[in-house]
Amino acid sequence: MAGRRLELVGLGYRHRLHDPQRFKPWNTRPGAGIHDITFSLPTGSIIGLIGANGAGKTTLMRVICGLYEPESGEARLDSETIAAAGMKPQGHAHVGFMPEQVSWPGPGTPRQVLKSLSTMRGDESEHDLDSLFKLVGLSSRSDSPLDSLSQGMRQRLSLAAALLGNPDILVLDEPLNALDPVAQIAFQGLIRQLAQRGHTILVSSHMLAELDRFVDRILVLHRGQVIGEGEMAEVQSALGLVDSMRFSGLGEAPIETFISAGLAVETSRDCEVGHWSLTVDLPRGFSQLQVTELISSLAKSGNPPYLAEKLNHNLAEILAAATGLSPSDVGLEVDDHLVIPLAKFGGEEE
Amino acid sequence: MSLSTRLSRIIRLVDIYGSQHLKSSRSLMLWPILLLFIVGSCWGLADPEISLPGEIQADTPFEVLFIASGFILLSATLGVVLIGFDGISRKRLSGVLSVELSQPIPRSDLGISMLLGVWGSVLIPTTLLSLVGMVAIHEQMGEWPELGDAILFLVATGMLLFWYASIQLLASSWAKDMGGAIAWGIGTWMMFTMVWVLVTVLVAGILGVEVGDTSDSQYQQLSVWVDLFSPNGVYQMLLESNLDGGLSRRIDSLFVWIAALLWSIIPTWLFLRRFERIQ
Repeated sequence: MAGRRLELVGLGYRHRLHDPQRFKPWNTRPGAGIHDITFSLPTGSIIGLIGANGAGKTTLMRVICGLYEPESGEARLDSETIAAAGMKPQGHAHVGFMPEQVSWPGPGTPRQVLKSLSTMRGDESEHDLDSLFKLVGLSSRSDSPLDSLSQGMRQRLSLAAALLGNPDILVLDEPLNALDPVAQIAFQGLIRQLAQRGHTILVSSHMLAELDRFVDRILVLHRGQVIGEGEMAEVQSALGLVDSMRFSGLGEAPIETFISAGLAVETSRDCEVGHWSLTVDLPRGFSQLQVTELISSLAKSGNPPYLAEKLNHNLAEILAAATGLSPSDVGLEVDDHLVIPLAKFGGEEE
Repeated sequence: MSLSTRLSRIIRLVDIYGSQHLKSSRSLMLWPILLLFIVGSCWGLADPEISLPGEIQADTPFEVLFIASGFILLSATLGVVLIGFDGISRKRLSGVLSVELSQPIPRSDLGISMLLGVWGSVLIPTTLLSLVGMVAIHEQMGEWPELGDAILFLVATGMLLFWYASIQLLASSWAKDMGGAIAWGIGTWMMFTMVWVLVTVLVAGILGVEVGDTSDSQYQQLSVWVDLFSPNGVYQMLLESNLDGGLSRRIDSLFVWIAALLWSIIPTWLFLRRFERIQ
C-alpha cells in the first residue's frame, strides 16, 4: 500500500460559544479550539495525540476529517488540499475517521451500517465488507442487531467504518475508551497490524501508559497548541524528564548500594512491614547493562529485589514539564479564555 | 463527479434511509393511526346517512377528501414528526452523524437523502391509505373521485408531508439533546396544527380587524393571507381551490401555488444550508 503523507500547516479553528446579549440573543464568541497546528505524519507510522481534557485533540481530528471548516491554515494530503479556510467541510476518500464512542443505535445490523456508509462512498462491494469484518474480529456478529452489540463490538464496528475504502490515513479518537484491558490489548494489536499494512494512524488518548505500548511518535497538545512532538523518549528528554525505576525487596532497604552507584533514591512510605521499596531516578544515558549490573550488586549485598520496573511519566508530568505549571494545575484548568494566546487575537477575548 | 452518479447515489441512500424508517417501530405505530384517520374518515364522511355538525355536507367524493384532509393534517403530519423529530439530533448524539459526515460525499447530497428518506417513509403509507380511502368512498357513495381531483389530493398531501419533513429536520438540526428535539418537533407541529388560529387572531388584533366575528369578511380576508404562512393553511387552500365554486375565501389560486412553491423551497434550502455547516 503506497501511503500518502498528511501535512498540517498553521491549522486553526475555534468553537463558537453561545453568548446571548440583550438585543442580539443569537450572539456567539470564540471559545476553545486549536491554534497554528503545524506537523506532518510520517507514512505508515502510529502517532499518539495526547493532551488533557479540552486540549483540542478531538477538534484537531475533526478538522482533519472534514467535520469542521478551519479558520486558518490548511491540511494537505500529498499535494492535495483537503481542508482549508473557505473550503466547504467534507470528508475525504483517503481519510478514515473513528469518532469517540459511537453508540450505533437503531434496528439495523453492522452489515447494514457498513453498506449504507459504502453507498455514501460510492462503493458497495460485499466482498470488501466480509474481509473488513474479519479484520476487526466482527465476522460472527456482522448480521446481529446493533442493539445486541457490546461496547467493545461497537468500537470494532466504528473501526471497520473508518477502514472502509482502505484509506491511507486513519484518525482514531480515543479508541481505547470503554474497552476492558483484554479488549485494549487486542485493539492495540489490531492498530499495530494496520500500521504494518501501510496505514498512517493518528490516535488520541489521555491514557499515556496504554498509548506508549503501540505508538511510534507522540504529539502533545495543550490549550490547542502543539507543545511537543517526536518519539516518546525524545519528547520526555526534550522536556527534561528523567527516567526512573522502582525496586522492591524483602528485609532492609539497600540504600548504600544505590548511592554507591551514583543514583538518587526516594523511599516509598506505603510499603508492607519487612519489605522495602525505592524509586530511583536514572541519569541520562544510564544503560540497560548498568541496570543489570545494579541488580546483580543488590543480589550480592544480600538484598535482591523481587521487583524492578521502569516507571512511565504520566500525562500530567509531561504537561507540567512542558508548561511549567504544577501537575495538579495542568489537569484541572479548563478555562476556555486561556486556550489560545491572548496576544494572537488582540482584544477579542475581552 | 457527474450529476448522474450523484443522483444515483442519492436515490440509493434515500432507499436505505427510507427503508430504515419504514421498518422502525415508530413506523409500525404510525400505520394504525393513519388507517384510523384516513380510511376511517373517508368511510365515515362518505356515508350518506351521516349527519355532521356545523351543517357540513359532503356531496361529492372530492368534498369527502377535502374534509378528510383535516384528519390528514392531524395524523400524517404527526407521522412526520414521529419519524423526523430526531432525524439529525439522534445521529449527532450517538456519534453516527460524525461518521457519516466524514464520508467523501457532498453534505448537500447527504442532507437531501435524509430529507427524502423521512418524507418517503410517511408518504408511502399515507398515499397507500389515501387510495384505500378512495375505495372506501366508492363503496359508500358508489362513485370514484375524478382523476384530476384524486391527483390533486395526493400531490397536495405529498407536498404537505415534504414541507413538514424539511421543517422537522431543520428543527432537529438545531436541537442539542433529546429534550430539545422533542420540544422543537412537537412545538412546530402544534404551532401550525393547534395554535395557528391564535396567530391569526393576534395579527388581526394588531391590525385592528374585528376578531369577535369570524364570519366577518375583513377577518376572513386576513385569515386567508395569514394562512399562507402556515403549511396547513396552504394545503387546505390548494384543495379548496378545486372545490365547486373555487376558493370561497377570495384569494387568487396563483398566490396559493406560489406559497406552496415557497414552502417547498425555503425550509429545504434552510435545512440544507444548516446541514452544510452542521458539526
